[in-house]
Amino acid sequence: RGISSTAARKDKVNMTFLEDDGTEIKVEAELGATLLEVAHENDVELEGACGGDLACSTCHVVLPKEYYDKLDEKEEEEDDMLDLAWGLTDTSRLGCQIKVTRDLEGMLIKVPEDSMDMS
Amino acid sequence: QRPTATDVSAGRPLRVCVVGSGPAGFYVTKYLLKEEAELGCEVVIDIVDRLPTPYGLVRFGVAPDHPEVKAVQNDFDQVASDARVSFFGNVCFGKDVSAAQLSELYDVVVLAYGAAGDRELTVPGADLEGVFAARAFVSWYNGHPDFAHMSEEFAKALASSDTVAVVGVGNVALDCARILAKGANALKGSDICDHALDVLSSAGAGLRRVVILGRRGHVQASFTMKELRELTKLDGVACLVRQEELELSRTPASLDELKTARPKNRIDALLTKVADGSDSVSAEAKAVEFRFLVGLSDVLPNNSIPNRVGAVRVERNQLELDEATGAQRAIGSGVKEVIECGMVLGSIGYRCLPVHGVPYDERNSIIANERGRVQGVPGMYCSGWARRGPSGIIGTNITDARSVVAAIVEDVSSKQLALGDKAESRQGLRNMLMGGQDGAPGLRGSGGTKKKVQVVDWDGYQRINRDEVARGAMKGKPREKFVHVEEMLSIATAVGDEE
Ligand SMILES: Cc1cc2nc3c(=O)[nH]c(=O)nc-3n(C[C@H](O)[C@H](O)[C@H](O)COP(=O)(O)OP(=O)(O)OC[C@H]3O[C@@H](n4cnc5c(N)ncnc54)[C@H](O)[C@@H]3O)c2cc1C
Ligand code: FES
Repeated sequence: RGISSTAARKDKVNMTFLEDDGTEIKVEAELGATLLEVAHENDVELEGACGGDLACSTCHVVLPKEYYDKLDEKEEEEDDMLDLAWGLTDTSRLGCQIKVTRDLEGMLIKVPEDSMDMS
Repeated sequence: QRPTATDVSAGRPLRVCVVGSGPAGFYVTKYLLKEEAELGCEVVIDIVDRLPTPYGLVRFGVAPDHPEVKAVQNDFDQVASDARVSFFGNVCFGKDVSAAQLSELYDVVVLAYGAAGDRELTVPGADLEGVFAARAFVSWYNGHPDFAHMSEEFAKALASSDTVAVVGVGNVALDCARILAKGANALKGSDICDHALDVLSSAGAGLRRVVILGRRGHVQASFTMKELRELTKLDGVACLVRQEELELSRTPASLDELKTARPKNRIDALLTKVADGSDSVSAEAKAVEFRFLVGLSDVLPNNSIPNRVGAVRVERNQLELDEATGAQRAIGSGVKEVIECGMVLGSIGYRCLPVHGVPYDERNSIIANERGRVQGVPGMYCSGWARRGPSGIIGTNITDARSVVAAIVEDVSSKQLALGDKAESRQGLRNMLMGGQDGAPGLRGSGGTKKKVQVVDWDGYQRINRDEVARGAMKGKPREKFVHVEEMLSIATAVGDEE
């Protein structure tokens, strides 16, 4: 499979962040780190206002269905915060709640477009 | 001949003043600093706030028992510590410095001064003692200097009855209800002000019931799931919801709304569950009671103290679909009910106040603007609550800030902005406020009595911060806020004077 040799050697997983303006950032994510931590380490434009404490929903990401289905079920608190996220989808999660595992190799993580109704 | 944006690429930075250091001001600053490549020049930003302390409602709004929400301050600290950013605390826009003066000094001015007023209750009796805006209560327990004198009034109101009525069904209303219901003991280890703890533990000790009054149905309420769920889980506090009021709220239009909105749907489900259990929890010592489709008719005086509130009279409402707008309006049915209480908190919204020299949209109570561009004032922008009105969470200001920054970048790049000779913006502002070498005084105390403004810079705020944290540590709290500006000013400068 397409695991790069460096990533495999260092216990890292390849992933790609897709920012809302279309910029793709390829990262080697450390096992056990949260997606929020990985994003910040790699200067991905993903906010984390509450520092990963399930109190803000600014770390909202959209995942491909096949990866979303592999993750553990959301806690109630995460669902409550997701209610406030812009552009919520069926495969939305909060980046601070997802830990990197080998299952996530090759995942494309979308930082949702933050368009808002400014009427 | 007017100079153009090419001056910027000729080597001078874009000079920006941001008014207000709440989330809106900080996020605009954060994102603008990232646009240097796009702008083709350096960006320097001065952030002005009327208080010596930054963070706006993160400090004076967000509830003391929600410390995780305040973690965003760490992010803002990073922004403030950037070498290109300078903080001007204790500088009031519209008083110490005018809109015209800032426009004169800076290429770009971003107004992010939030909503420092109230939408007030206007029913008969709303002027009785014991009726407050929720903003006053929140600002008081969070130590806003403008409200530090109100302890006695809140104490009197709380002592006069075991019930508080909160008018409005947004998150601010739920914050007020939760703080009251939790009481002093449960809040001791938070950063709630000591003056509030004192009142809650003495006058507030007799509190048994907080009634939250919603004019329309639960589907139209604006509180969010997290805050609602928290209320349903409080130790020793029953949460009461009436099944028949939920039923009454489920009009065809409301049901349509429920179908499409996941958050509302989940709230509907939780409220229904709470309503089912409402009978079995009646033995709890305290209760927070939700009422829907009850409109406030008037506030009634206390029988023995006629200038003080004794009850609220509410009217059963029904929802009626306004075909034109698609919105559901509350229509009174004539059936009334009296709820005795000693304190009323009007929680029907903060309101952005007009500032001299800034176009104001009366109808919406916001700065008149088009997508963040202040109407008719080139180079002036707005963001946050001052731009959109008082709704949304901290994260909403991110989206807002990004769009304003995009507008600024667009205007600068397309040379819409004439950038004149503004070589001395930061020093110019300092001179204006503190009196430069020429001794030019600030505006404060206008007229003949002009006096210097004591600007609190970021180091000054850090001194205040350190002292607050140290005071808190002695009491097992994250911080004990200073609630008097004078006190803050003397701390902010204490070390600076020796330097
Ligand atoms: C009670 C309450 C609780 C909240 N709780 C939460 C929560 O738990 N989670 C969440 O996500 N959101 C919460 N919010 C919402 C959040 O606080 C707002 O979305 C956000 O603060 C709005 O940002 P702002 O910068 O526009 O305004 P503000 O935060 O109000 O900032 C405005 C700043 O401008 C300054 N200013 C005002 N007038 C002047 C002037 N004339 N000159 C100079 N400076 C001036 C003020 O001092 C202030 O620092 C809460 C809001 C309230 C009211
Ligand atoms: S960082 Fe706040 S919820 Fe994830």
